[in-house]
Amino acid sequence: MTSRLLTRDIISRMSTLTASEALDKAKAEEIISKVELIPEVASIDVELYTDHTGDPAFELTFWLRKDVASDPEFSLRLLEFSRKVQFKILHSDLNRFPYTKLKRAA
Amino acid sequence: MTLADGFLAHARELASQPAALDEMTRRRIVTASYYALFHQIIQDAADLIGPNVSIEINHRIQRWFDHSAMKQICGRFTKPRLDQPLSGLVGDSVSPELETVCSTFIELQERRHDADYNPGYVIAENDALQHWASAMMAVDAWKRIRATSEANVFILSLLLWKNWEKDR
Repeated sequence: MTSRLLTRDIISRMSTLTASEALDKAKAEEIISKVELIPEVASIDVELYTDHTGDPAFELTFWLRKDVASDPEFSLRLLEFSRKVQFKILHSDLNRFPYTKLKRAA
Repeated sequence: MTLADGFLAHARELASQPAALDEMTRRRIVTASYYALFHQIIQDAADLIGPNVSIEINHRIQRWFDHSAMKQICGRFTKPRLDQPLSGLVGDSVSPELETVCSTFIELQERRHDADYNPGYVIAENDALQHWASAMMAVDAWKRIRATSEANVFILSLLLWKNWEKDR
């Protein structure tokens, strides 16, 4: 029942999304909320996305802390982390590919 | 040097600049990273399919591969439980290496499309470096598994997926 109410609440707040889209987004956000962030990543946002072939997808924005350096060593560590998050979505019952994007916090 | 190695080296050269990377350089890194993985796969595919053909025919075979169809097939190989006919051919799931190859291919193709065609695409320097690193890791993962049964099925699926229905 709680889950149903939560779903209804989410759907009512996202009037531009269909019920199924809102549910997908909520499920992805729930998966990501259980991920332990690495120190350089402040947060991860989830948005519904349509890729260039027209397939429904997610776009995960990894918000980096503003003092994070741009070096290859960190890129590899970040890649390992983003992969971990990506595979959690891919291994779920969601049928949207999770594209990733990095942004630096202002 | 193969085309795949050349694109990877080009991306590395662009990423190794001492100064901050400008927008065009970031876009070129993404594009080169995608093509490194794309060419590595189709080059190995052509070698597998036509081991006895001339180099000219090998190059023509490499032109048979379609970016969009490859992306769709990669999507079929990244599911937590493969569906038919793949599960009957490679098991319930693929190796972490093939999963890395397929998911990286999908991600890089999308970003390559943005980098080449989307004027509004904003790419952070970390993002460009990460795409290059992901291409390197995916090419490396592919080289570890390219002689396996699942990689053979993957390669054949890239061209013959339209015939899958006959295998049900």
